[in-house]
Amino acid sequence: MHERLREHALALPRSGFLVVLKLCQVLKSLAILLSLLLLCFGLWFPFVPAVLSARRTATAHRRAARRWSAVQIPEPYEPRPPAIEPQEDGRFKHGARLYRRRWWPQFLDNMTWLNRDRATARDILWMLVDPFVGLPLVLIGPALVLGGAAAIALPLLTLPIPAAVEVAGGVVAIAAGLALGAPLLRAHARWTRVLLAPESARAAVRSQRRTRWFIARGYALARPLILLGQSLGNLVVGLVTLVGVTLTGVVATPLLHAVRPLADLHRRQAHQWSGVHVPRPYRLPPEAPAQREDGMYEYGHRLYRTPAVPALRLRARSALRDPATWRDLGFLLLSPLLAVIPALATALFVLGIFGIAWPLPWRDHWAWGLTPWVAIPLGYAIALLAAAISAPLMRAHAACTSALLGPTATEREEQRTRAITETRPESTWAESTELRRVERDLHDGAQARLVAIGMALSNIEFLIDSDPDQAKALAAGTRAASVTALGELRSLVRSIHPPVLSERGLGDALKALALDLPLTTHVTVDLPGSLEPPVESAAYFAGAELLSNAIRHGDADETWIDLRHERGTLTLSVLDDGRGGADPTRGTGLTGIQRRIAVFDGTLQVTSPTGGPTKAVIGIPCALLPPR
Amino acid sequence: MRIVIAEDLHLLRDGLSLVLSTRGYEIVAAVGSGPELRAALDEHRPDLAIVDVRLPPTYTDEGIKIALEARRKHANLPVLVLSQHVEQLYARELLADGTGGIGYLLKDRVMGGNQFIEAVTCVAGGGTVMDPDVITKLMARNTKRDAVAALTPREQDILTLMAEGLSNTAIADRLVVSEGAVSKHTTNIFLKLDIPQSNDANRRVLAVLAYLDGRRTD
Repeated sequence: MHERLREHALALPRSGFLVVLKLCQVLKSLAILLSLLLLCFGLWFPFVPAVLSARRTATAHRRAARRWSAVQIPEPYEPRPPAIEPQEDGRFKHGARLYRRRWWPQFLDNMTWLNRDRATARDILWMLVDPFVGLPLVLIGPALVLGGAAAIALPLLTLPIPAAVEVAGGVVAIAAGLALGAPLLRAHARWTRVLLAPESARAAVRSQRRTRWFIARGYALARPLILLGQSLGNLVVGLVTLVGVTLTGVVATPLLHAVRPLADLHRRQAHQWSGVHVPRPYRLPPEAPAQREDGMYEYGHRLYRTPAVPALRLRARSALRDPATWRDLGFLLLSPLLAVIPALATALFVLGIFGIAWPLPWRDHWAWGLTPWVAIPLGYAIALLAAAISAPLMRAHAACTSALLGPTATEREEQRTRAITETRPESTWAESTELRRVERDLHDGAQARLVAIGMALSNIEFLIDSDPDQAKALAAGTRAASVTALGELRSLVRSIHPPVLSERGLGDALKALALDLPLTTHVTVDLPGSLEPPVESAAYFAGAELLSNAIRHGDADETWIDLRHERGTLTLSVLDDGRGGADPTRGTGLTGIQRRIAVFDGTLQVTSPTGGPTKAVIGIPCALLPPR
Repeated sequence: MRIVIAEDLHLLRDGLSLVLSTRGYEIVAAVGSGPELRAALDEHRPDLAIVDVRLPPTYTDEGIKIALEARRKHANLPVLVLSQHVEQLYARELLADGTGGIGYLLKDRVMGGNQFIEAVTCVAGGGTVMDPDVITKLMARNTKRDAVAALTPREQDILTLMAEGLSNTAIADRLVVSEGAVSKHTTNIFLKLDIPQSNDANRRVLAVLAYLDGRRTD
């Protein structure tokens, strides 16, 4: 009880403090906007100090949420890069250059560090959005109390209504301000968590259904702005490519390939934002030009001494003949029009909130001469309607993207035949070694045992009448042999493809594996779909190898396994409390993992200082398929 | 006793039916797919269902899913799950509802003759039977725990057998000792591990499994 009273009493000064903090934050947001603007012109010096100062504000907010509202918001930032140490000659090495002073290479390091950290973008977004959400939340309490106090203290000066009514109103306002202060402060802390917590911590919040709805609508309303921005860039790139190819012919055709990453970005967005899977429709790149017997390279009727020009022309020809290229260009040119579709919802939302529900400060009246009683509900109703149609409109946009950027029926058919006939020379070697191992295991193990069982059975047949006792003993032995053979087959099957993987998918297969290990494991899985079977299998065996390393070499007692799919990448990280010192360049285990996942363009990062802990992270770019 | 069998491989299905019917059990239905199993359970309301984990049409974990679903629908229908491989993950899911009448065995055990029949009787009677493979792995994970390490080798053997679902009589048979000796050992084990002792055989199994699995019992 005492605690509650204290919280209510302190809520007001705390809110007041936050209001002041946020007013400074508004200035900082302007500075950040300016630095982002300068960034567009290549002036990136102000970016680092602007982001760092935003981090300080964000950290103050996290601390306030933790101390005052018991809302834990862990720091999401990557660790700061270490200070660059001077070499023996006193100079500082950065990349392939040496510097006489430290600050410049250090500045470059900081820039990369901030740029790579996903939390940076969220911090900036928060700085820009918070004045519209966080500020009102903390302002309401103090405003009510101060307004109420003013009404009581200066009853005769302010309004032409009876003093008693005004005093009563003032008392009510103060009471409301005091009562609302603490809950609003808590709401503010929860809002702070939405953008300022690391993604893992936000996942817990996201899983609550109501929050998820609001967050999904928020994204669906904000993303059209990104699309609009992108579409202007697309238009420029599309026009330049089209004009370049028309005017210069072959010379500009590399541009046709440069367009593809842009199209890929839209394909990824359609998948991540609206769940519309858009496969790449392109034909295979042409084969490298073959060398003739006289050492020359041929293209058309001409001979070339080096393969560079024929290769370029081959690429150009294949790009020009691929209908997908022209659909890409069409999409780029049309994308401003397409982006308007989802942007309608955003425009409607802005109109509802800022055009109708809020009287614009510079126009002293409500929109269309409405009274506040009509304008406020109408404005919010329009905003709600906009939020409701935002997701369907985003899906409509994704459908247009899919129609233009996805493969046509014929291309789909072509791709399928290609996939069947395609061979993968880089993995066949590993495959054949694996097959030989399986053959040897079967030959020396289960197969031999079955032969022995067959022989024993024929002996039993022979003995069953003459010596039933010996026949019985032999039967028991045979049964034991069959059990052993089964056990061997089972472990062989597990080493080829663990049954749980086919039955439950990667997440549960890792959980099952963890349960079989003689150490404490904590497994978290965030995989709202299934994966291509080859990726699944590679990730499973890579994880199994990492875990067995942790036990065999690291001497670990406890491991943490985390599996998630985010931004088109499957990430599997294994952390253990062992003694560390693992080196990915040595040891066959880690290189084996690298070879296994390289087929899928996967990466393996290992940090393992001597003394531990060891953290290994596997990243495999892949699509998330619907749950099986 | 009326039994429903679900197993997609014809040879194994017939083998199972033969093993059980020669010992006087009544096989009311022997089916080969998930949907058929569901229909057979609804129609016959058997005393026991023997179910393969992997069944058509999906060939994933259809068997376990239908078994758990049927247990919710038909008041804890006793289910004996058979599989080519055993996983602690599945064992955990099968045991999660904390009631008896559940068994989880490798298909190899069917060859074990009497032991398989004992398991069938035990599960049908509301008991719990876990495959020795599951228990061996559970024990391996627990040997680092001080309390388990403090048990004598004989007590560890008995703990293993208790976890597999054997009664005192069966344990005494298996280890060729008197039943009195076994019950003395079990009392010691419960004291050392601080597990609530219970006279109900099935609650005892569940408590031991929960302890080994690191879960808490209520």
